[in-house]
Amino acid sequence: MLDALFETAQRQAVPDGLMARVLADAAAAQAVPMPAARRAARGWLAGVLAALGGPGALAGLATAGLAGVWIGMVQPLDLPLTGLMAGTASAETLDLYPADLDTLSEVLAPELIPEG
Amino acid sequence: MMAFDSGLDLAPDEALLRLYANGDSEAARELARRFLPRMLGYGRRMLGDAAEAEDVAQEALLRLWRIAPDWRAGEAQVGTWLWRVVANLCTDRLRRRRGVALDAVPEPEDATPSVLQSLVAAERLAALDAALAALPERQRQAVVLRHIEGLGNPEIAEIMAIGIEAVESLTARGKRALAARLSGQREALGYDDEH
Repeated sequence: MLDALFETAQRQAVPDGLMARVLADAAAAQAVPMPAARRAARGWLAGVLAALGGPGALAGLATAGLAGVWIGMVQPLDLPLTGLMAGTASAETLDLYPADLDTLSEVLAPELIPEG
Repeated sequence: MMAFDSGLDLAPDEALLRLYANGDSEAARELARRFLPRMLGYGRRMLGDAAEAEDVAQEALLRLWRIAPDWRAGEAQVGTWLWRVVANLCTDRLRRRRGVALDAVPEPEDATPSVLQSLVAAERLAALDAALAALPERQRQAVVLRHIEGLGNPEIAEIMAIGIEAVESLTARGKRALAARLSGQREALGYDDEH
């Protein structure tokens, strides 16, 4: 008997008025823009990120920054690149094969210089 | 558009909630169609008052609408979340009533004639609701969720924030108490020719 009663009780109807009120609530909640509290909770960092173009743009900026640091640290020669590019460099400043190369070799690797 | 609409009844609850959050009002209708009748029935049986049950069901769904844009996929089942909200809202209302004699709590109103097939069915429901109303609150909650709403014990345990064994104990004791209370009305309710 109890199970039959439970089965009868499972059939419930919803008053039309209630369904209408629930759907009106749903429509009203859908129409509400994001609450100010939630916007504020996102904080200043989200604003900065948005201004930069999002997290992807921030990653690009970081990569570019690191590349700049790397280029600055590993620059091997103090070449007058600006002069080279502008075409104003003199032959002396572009002397990449010094005349005293023998002397330089003696300083850097004297053991390789044959005696005599 | 029709094909899309007709597919909503097959969509998982969470997908419907996401559709609603993205502006689909039909998704809200489908969610309400799924949960409103059951939440209403639960509220009626827990609170013994149809108007209060409607308020609770409406409030629970309003909370769902409001949380929809922030719903985190996979963290919780929509149904379990709703049941927990409804259960807590009912518990809050019952606590506020504390001190009111059981006899002062209105008898559960029931359903409209369109629901009830006959006067016998109405009498059966009234008898069941009266017997349920006499149960301790936690037993009533567990019995309604298990045997009328058809939830599984693990989900009920989550909703009531207790262990599965406690759910089993509550439903077993509740069912025994119901059977004892209703046994004297078997003939009056038209069950005399049934086992």
